[in-house]
Amino acid sequence: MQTETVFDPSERIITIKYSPERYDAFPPAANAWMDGRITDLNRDREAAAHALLLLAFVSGRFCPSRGCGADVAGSLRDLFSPRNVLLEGVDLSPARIPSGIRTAILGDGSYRMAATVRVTRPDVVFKLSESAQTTLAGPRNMTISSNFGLFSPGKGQLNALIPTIAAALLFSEDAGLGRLVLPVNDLDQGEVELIKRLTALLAAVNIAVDAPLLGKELHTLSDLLLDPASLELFFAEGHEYSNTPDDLPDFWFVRLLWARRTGSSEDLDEAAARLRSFSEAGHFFSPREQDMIRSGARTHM
Amino acid sequence: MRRQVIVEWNLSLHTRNFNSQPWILQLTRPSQRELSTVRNRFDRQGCRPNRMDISSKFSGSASEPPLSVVIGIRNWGLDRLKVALRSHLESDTPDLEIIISDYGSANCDDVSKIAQKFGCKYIYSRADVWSRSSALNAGIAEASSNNILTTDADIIFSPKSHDVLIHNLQRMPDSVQIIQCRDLPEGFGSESLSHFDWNHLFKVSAIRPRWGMGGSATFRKALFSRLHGFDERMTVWGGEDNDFVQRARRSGAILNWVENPEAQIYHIWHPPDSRGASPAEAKIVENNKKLLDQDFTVVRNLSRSFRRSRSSDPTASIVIATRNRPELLRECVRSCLEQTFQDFEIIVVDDGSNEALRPRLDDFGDERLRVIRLEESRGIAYARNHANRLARGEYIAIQDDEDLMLPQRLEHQLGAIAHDFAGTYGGWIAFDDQSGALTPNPGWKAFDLPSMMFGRGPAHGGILIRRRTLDHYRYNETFQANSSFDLLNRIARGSVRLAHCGHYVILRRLRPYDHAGPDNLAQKSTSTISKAMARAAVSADLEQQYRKAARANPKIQIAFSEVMDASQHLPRHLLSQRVQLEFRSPPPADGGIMDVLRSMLADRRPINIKFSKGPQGGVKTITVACDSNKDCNQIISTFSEIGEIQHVSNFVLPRAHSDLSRIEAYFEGTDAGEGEYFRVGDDIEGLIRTLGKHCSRCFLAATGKAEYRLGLPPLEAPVRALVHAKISRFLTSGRHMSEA
Repeated sequence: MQTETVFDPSERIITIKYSPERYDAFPPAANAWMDGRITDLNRDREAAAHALLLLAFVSGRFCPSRGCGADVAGSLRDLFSPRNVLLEGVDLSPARIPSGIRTAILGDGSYRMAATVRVTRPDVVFKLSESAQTTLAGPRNMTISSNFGLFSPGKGQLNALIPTIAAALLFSEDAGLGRLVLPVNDLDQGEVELIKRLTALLAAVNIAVDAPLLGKELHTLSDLLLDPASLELFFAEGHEYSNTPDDLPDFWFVRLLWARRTGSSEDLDEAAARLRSFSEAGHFFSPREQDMIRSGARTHM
Repeated sequence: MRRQVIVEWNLSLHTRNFNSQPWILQLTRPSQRELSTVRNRFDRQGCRPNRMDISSKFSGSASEPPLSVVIGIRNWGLDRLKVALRSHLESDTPDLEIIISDYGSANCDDVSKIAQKFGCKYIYSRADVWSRSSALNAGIAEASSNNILTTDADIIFSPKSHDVLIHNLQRMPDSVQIIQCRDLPEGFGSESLSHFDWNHLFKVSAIRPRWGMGGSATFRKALFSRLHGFDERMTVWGGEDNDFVQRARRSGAILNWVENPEAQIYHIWHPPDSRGASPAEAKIVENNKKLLDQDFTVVRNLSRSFRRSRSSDPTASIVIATRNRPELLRECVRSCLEQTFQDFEIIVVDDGSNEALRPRLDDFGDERLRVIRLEESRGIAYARNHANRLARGEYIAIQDDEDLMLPQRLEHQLGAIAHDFAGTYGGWIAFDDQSGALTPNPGWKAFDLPSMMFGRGPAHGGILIRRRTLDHYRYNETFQANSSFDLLNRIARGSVRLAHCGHYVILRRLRPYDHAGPDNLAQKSTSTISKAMARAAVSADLEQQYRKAARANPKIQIAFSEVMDASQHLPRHLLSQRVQLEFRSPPPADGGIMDVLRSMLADRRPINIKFSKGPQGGVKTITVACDSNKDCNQIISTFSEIGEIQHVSNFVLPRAHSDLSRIEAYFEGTDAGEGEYFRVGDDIEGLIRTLGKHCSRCFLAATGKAEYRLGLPPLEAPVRALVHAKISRFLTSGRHMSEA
């Protein structure tokens, strides 16, 4: 897969073009784009961003837009494991590695994010939006208008965040980012392997990855969450297509966890029943979430 | 141990007296003798079994096997088959399901015995020509696992291979996994492989170049559904694996060459076979190559079905959101079930209909149809999102509950998915629900943001798109109406590519209240919001460029014959039945034909007349409206007393377009201008005699007492002037301009 970063004449839109080769899959859109202007774009971070964005579609060979340095080449190759991907354009000459000091939490509008915010106190909330017509870039919030979300490599809490990580990498130098916080808690085996490779790759471009809730028992999150009513606006902002938080499984997980905390068996039953109906209606839940839904959570109290 | 035989054949191939449903005969624990008896009886009856399935299973083992190994075979060396099966059975991965898909072997009894001995599922397809594609498709259709390994009967697998493939599929679910094959040298045929010394085999073998897929391909069943199988136009062998992989790549799946030293496969040495060597077979192989190199579509075998049970994922999901329209919904669902492509499911989400107006679809009795009821109305956007989440098809066909699918909608739209397109759309024909008047709209060639911004987008109810795309783009539930326009806008902005399939795909129902009322206001409001937001993000200059680009987007050209074909699928109340009678020679004018025509016209039956060529003219063909089959027979009987009838045909016309000659003129491309209509008096005999000398056809209908409406097809200017002069004496009050 050959990639290229193109700035449109107004420099308002960044387009990532790609040319699939013999073993590659064709990505789901003609190109990937973000609304917004980037002034500083480090070559290695750009290569890492392209690799993440096209993670599910590369097989055989990967030729990032401007190549990459020797520091990042190994972890970039490993990212695609168990695929044996040939990396092209590796430059052995020494090069500057950018650094940053700000912490960004990657927004997915989930209850995990609501809990993670309270643990990490990030400097900036960074998220993607497919329906926003323009990018919002402020000191505390960055909402990037983009089609990157289409390129998610699959289901799962980490997979869903991969396009956001790619976008954050592209903006990282301008936004002074040095640490990305991922609101993930329960990963499948493939994602567990992926987060290790991802952490190594981002470390090679001077960005730390933190997942403070990863592996924690779900019920321990209840201490970190505000009461459901206080989170309604949070969920409305995080799920642009939805009319009411009542339609969101994340909202009902908060209610479930809050009910556990308050000991309200009626609320607990209602939340568990509602989550079961979401599950039947095709919503994705991690194995740990499924366990909690199945058990009705009552046995864990 | 339980052995089951399923023999299935399609009697419709052999007799017209049966419908096309397959008949299935199931025998439990049959002996070989019983098997032979059954087969012989079929042959004697002239019934050709399509499929014979022998499975050996331990009863009670209901769990899904980790991998289904599918081996296509026809007249193959049985010793090599045994060695190949042994390598699978000695795998480190337990509980593999092995399916032998026998595509017409002459020695099928021997093959089935081997299948039994090795505990394999055996599927027999009667066939005259070897088709590896068809054999594999038949086998995969019966696979119980979601992980499929297709291979040949002369390939052996090292014990860890299956495990590596399964592991890789877990990590890369959207992929085709290929192990590079190694060829064993002469002396390493089946006779010398009584046991496997894998280290030794590695040392003596030679790696095979990556020309093809080297004898195996492993993938998820969902990918098989998405591509709809190996291309069965590819007969004999060669190219079908490559073609499958190229289509997989176009649909978003990667090709991964497994580079794990523990996963090795070997080709058992055997003398070169002669397949593909004869001139006829060489031509077939060449044809396969042509398909591989020149056909860039993704979904194939659209006239076939590989879905054996409701539990297997369909290729397409038809999703319908509905509320309080049970009768319209029934018509809609019926049109969906009549698709020429059948591997689909239908999901109807009832958005809280009133008790009396709930969908009533049970009597369709089709297990592909699912109705989900929302207790309270949540709006159409919510209902559609709900339906999309439940959909299991790789593609979603969006369908509005009041519209009708044309029978080839899925076939045309799936067949047009090519390159990296995520979906397709088509033209639509609007029909007035009261008059039946048709307004074709072929749609525009390009689907892009400029076209969406400036009113040249596709009909939402005619979109077929990858489910994956709609996982990401959801209808905005905060919009009361027309969330579909907003969705298509966002999809276009997201650079998702959709192609026009080149056909009309739906009949869109227009009702009198479609143009007024609160829904319409909400729709306009939503469109305004969507357009305003899109424009807010672009400069005035760019907007101007978009406007120009939208104007440059051409309309698609679709043959008018498709409108005529489509009109046959209008609701019954909008159709008028016709019987057309062709005389062997024109009946004499004084033989009573004029009386009969006058009587038919008095019964308010519109009549189309075609005149015989030549100076004498005369009536050659008569088309008359009729109410029922009985009525139709009566008409035939009446006319047969007047002249010898050579040919009778029955068809229907849209009620609003009752003038067959005008439609035919349009259909034949002679519609150089508007046809004309006149009021004429009751001298039918004189009129017909006059017209017969100068026109090819005419239309007559009664308008009042002793007055008729005459329709003429478009005519060349000199002929037209002559005809005007000749018929002037029959006119009563000048010319009609409208057809209605």
